[in-house]
Amino acid sequence: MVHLTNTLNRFGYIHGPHRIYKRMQVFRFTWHYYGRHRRCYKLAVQRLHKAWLHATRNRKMKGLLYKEIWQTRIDAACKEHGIKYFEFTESLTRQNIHLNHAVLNDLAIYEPRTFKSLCNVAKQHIVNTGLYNLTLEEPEGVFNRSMFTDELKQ
Amino acid sequence: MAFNRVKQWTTFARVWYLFDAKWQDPIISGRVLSKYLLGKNKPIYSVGSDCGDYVVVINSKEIALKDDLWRTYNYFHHTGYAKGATYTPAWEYHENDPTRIIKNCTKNALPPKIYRNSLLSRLLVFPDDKVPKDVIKNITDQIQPSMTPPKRLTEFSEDEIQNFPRLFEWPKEFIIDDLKGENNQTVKII
Amino acid sequence: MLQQWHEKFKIRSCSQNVPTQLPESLKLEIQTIQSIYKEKVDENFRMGFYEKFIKDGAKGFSLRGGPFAKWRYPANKVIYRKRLVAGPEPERPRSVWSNWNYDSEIYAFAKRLNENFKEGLLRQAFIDPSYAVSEKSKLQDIGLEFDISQNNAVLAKEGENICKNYIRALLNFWYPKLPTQGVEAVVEFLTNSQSMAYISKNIGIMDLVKTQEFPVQNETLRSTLFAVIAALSQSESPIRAHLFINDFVVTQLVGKDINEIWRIENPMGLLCDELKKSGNKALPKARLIWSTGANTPTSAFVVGLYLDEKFLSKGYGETAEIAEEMAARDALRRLFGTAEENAPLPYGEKARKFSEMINSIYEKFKNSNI
Repeated sequence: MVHLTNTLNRFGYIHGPHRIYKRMQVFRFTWHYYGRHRRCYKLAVQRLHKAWLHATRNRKMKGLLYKEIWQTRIDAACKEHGIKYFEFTESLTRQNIHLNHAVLNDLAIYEPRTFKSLCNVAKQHIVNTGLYNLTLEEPEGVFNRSMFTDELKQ
Repeated sequence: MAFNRVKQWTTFARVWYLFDAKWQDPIISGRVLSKYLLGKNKPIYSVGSDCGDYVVVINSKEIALKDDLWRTYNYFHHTGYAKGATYTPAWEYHENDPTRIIKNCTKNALPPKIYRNSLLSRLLVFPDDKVPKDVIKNITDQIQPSMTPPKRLTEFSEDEIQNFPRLFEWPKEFIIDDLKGENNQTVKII
Repeated sequence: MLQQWHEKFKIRSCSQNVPTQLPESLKLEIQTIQSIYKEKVDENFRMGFYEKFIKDGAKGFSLRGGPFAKWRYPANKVIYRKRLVAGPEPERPRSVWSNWNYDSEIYAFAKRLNENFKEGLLRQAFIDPSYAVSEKSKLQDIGLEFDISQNNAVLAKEGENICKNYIRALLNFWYPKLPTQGVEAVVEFLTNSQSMAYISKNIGIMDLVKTQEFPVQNETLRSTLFAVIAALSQSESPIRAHLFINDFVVTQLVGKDINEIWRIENPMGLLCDELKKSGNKALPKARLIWSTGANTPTSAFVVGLYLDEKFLSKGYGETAEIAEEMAARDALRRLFGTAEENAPLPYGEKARKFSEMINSIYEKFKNSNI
């Protein structure tokens, strides 16, 4: 090793930074690990590098997982208005209503009346074009409040 | 924030559903009920949030299995010792406890996680339509049955049977025994 | 091991950073902090970098090894523990530091708000009456005179009137159906000492105000903000002051519901009275719309109010009684035009269009109160 810049120093040999500071950088990421993996450098570095590998791999999965949740939510909201998820999305795309899954999810949760009107638009489109066979009538064997109103009035 | 507090309370309130299991396939209905227990019937569903509903199942005695499954399907159990395997057919399993098959089917439809038992505790199954009054007061809504219960031949009136559309008429020599009669036997050809 | 480091490397005390001009009460506090250290400040540290370097040379100099030397790790720990023992630094007014220039700060205050104040009025607005009394007694000892009447007491009263009347006019314009009790509740919420002190702290009045007390209390901050508003209306125009109130004071309503600021104790009684006034003889009837888990602790009820078999409002709750009360509240906010579906108050450039109409209402209020 040749340290040419050390000739400028008149008062002594310039050392590099101590290893403790490099270790502190690692421990900053491993404070929440269990056991010796949080305090022993050799184990902590191994665990940290593996964790970073997992993180890079799973970053792609995050979007897919979110889409799965959005689909279940939109499906649940559609069923309340008597239409299925794939019928709803298919008819919206055919009408050039290009709404994102994220947007439809937000509408389903926070603006249910807007979502209901969207469902009505999709239903009318399906009825007009005959895309699917919609079951718009109420099924048998399900009791409604309207069945009892006549009895109550009497 | 009185308005928002009350709004929050009602959105996350657990809804009580009624499900009539008469002539229903327990495997299909288990898939349906698992969605209600998990809370997938709501647009506020999330993986971490515990937003599932209660389901009260009645008439579980009268469930219908597909094909010949009552006889062929076996429930397996092993005691852990040598030669400890037991195979109980579904009809026997059902006779011992008529609420057991539909519970098992919903359990299988739920994800195999540790919260499965807490979700199943919200599934109340009754063999008959005799449900305690405390439970009935809670119920608000009904789950749509997936199968329509079929009508038996004995339930049809004679006019309906005679006026039923048929492709051909039986010859006069062909005699069908009256099912209601005393001599209820198999079909005879004279 | 830490104790060894502690003995080897004596740490520079925080007394070096203390500003030169200090009141006596603060000096005593700093002395007590120094007594916690129980160390005399070493001569070597008092001298500083270059003097020590000239005296002793490189030998034994503490900065050896660079900023990431091994010895700094335990030494920093010792410093950190000493800091914890000594506690946080006492709060001091900004004017204690030597780089404080009151004139330039006053100039900057006006420029920051983009307003043209008269400088004499603005200076007067920042002088609290308690400060004026004490200042006069100090100057009398020297032999100088001080005009005690030059404080913000009069300006604050004028500013309070402007502020309250303008908010009344604004609420009357946007919510014409809201009764006076509701308007007064909102005015009190906006002009109480807590919210006004929050505004004046964030504008920068807290450093500029001249008072005897420290830390500055909320009420003095409130009165100085009123005085600043009055100074603005006198120095430029009252319309300019109204825009100032619209931008800073009324914006505290963002994210807040007017129906919750005004707490109605008996909503059903108030609703019946309001309906009688409007000429309806029939009283509203409550009907259960939906309920779930009625026998459980996590029950939910939805109750609707109907007037002559027509839908009025809907309320939710844990019990039927709470739901009925909430339905009455919902009916009231629909009557007063403060329901959820109504548009929020406009701010900024959108609100400038309506300033003339609001000012015409303001003048009615101003005349009626005097």
